[in-house]
Amino acid sequence: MIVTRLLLRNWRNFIEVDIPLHERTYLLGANASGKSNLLDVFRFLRDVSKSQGGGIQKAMHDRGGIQKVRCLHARNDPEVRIEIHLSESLDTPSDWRYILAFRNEARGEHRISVSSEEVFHNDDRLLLRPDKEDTEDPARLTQTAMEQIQANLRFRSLAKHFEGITYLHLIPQLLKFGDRIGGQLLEGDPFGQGFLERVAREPKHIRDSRLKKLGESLSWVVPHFHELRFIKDRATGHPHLEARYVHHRPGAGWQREDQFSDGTLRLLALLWILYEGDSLLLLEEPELSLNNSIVQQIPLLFQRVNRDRKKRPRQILTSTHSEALLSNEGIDPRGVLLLEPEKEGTSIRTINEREAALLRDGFSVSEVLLPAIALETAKHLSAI
Amino acid sequence: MSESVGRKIATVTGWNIIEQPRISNGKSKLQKNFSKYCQIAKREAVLLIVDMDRPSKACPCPVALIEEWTGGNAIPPGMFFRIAVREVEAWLLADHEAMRNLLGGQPKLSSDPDNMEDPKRELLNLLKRVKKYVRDDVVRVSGSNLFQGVGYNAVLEKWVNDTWSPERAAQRSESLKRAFYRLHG
Repeated sequence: MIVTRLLLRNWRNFIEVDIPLHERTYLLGANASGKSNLLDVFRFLRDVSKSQGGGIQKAMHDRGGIQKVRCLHARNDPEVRIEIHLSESLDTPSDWRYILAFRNEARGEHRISVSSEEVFHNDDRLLLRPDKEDTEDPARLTQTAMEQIQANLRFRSLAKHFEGITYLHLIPQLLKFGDRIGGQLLEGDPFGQGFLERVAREPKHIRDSRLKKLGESLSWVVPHFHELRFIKDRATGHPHLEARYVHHRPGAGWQREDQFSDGTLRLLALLWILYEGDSLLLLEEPELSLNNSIVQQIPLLFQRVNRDRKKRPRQILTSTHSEALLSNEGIDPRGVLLLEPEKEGTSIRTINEREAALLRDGFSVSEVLLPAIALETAKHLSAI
Repeated sequence: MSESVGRKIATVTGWNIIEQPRISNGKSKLQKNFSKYCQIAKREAVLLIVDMDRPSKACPCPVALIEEWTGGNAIPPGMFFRIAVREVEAWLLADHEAMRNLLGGQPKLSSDPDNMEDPKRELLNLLKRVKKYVRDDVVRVSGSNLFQGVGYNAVLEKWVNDTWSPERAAQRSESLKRAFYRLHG
């Protein structure tokens, strides 16, 4: 399944959003324009749908309550609304539609209360809340149907899809110095601390074949990179990745992940995760710590890993600032979204006709769209 | 792409390539920096390859393009300023042996790529024929339109480096032939 459309009202810094999503979508925008806030909608849906420790109350509590999530510019409308469309592929009409709207309870404990929840499958309505029982027992509205096994039977596949949404913003130092930092692992491991455990959990034959393919992809973009292997430390039992480079003396040892460059480590984790799941993958600035010539090939790496997967391609939503990444002229411009800060909140749009014409003339996405974003940033700076 | 082609030609003709970080990319930036390249050319040889692109009123032929860039000034002897007619893709299409190697089978190839309306389009059309494994990298089909894929540059640059021969291609492209023999000295 892939997400084909997203509509929002009063979510963080977006008053109103209605955007299409593609197999690979790139989010472009100035700093603080709300790229991460947009990715957070999908993480929120995942948190609501999680079979363990999920639910709307917890998901909202973890975000600091509805007052942190609701758009500041929404003065009269206290409700947050999310609508998401999914289909089997981009070319087929949307099969699934999920709508979730909520607000704070007016009285009592001021818990989050679902003001409407609907599910459609091929235009058949499978769920409409509040229903009669909700009216009789308003406490029921503190939970979504999506989070309840008893209630989501007819749209379980949707709940599973949401639950499988993955967010990755790997911070190499957390992985390299994990032992010494001793940090606690956040739910869903957004910063990739538990990446090695993730690798260790896979059955050996899958892990080995995946690492072999990853090694091939990496050797193709990381100079001198040769091969990759997984080992467990004999003394401590900790999982490790090791790599060998061709320029090493013959017989030179393998390098452990704490010796990998930050960029290599990020790339490795990113590609691994691409192989792993089936649901939407959210990536935050995959270009960080990478050389431009590698960044330019990130769209091709996505493409190749998706092709090598035995299953259908994984949908990817990427936030980026990278001129190099967007200079790849093969990027499908239909999958580019622009965040534009306005007086009241941020709006999101696809490319317009003029920009489409420029792209047809052979300019790259970076040449056509980044100047506008730079201008936005410059206006900001000149105000300081 | 022009950079890889330039490197290949320079290697074949026995130039000693100094690894120079890419200074600028794209025709307009090259033009902007043209006088700086001419400065460099006073000290060392510079190979500059520029696509002719579609002839326009202001720039109907390679001579006019050179005139436009130089502003009528003399080009220093170390500057090898070559124009690919219409674009560097025509030079790629001119090596039939390498093209067949890339595409497989017996594709219909033009014997006069310099006179093609749109060599890049022609190349993309031909690339539709490659095995699926590579095809999805190099071309992107959107509706009835054909665009370059995310791996277009990566795949073709490797092919230029490994397989494409400027000597063979020069037999079918006048503009490449001139460039090649000028460099050969």
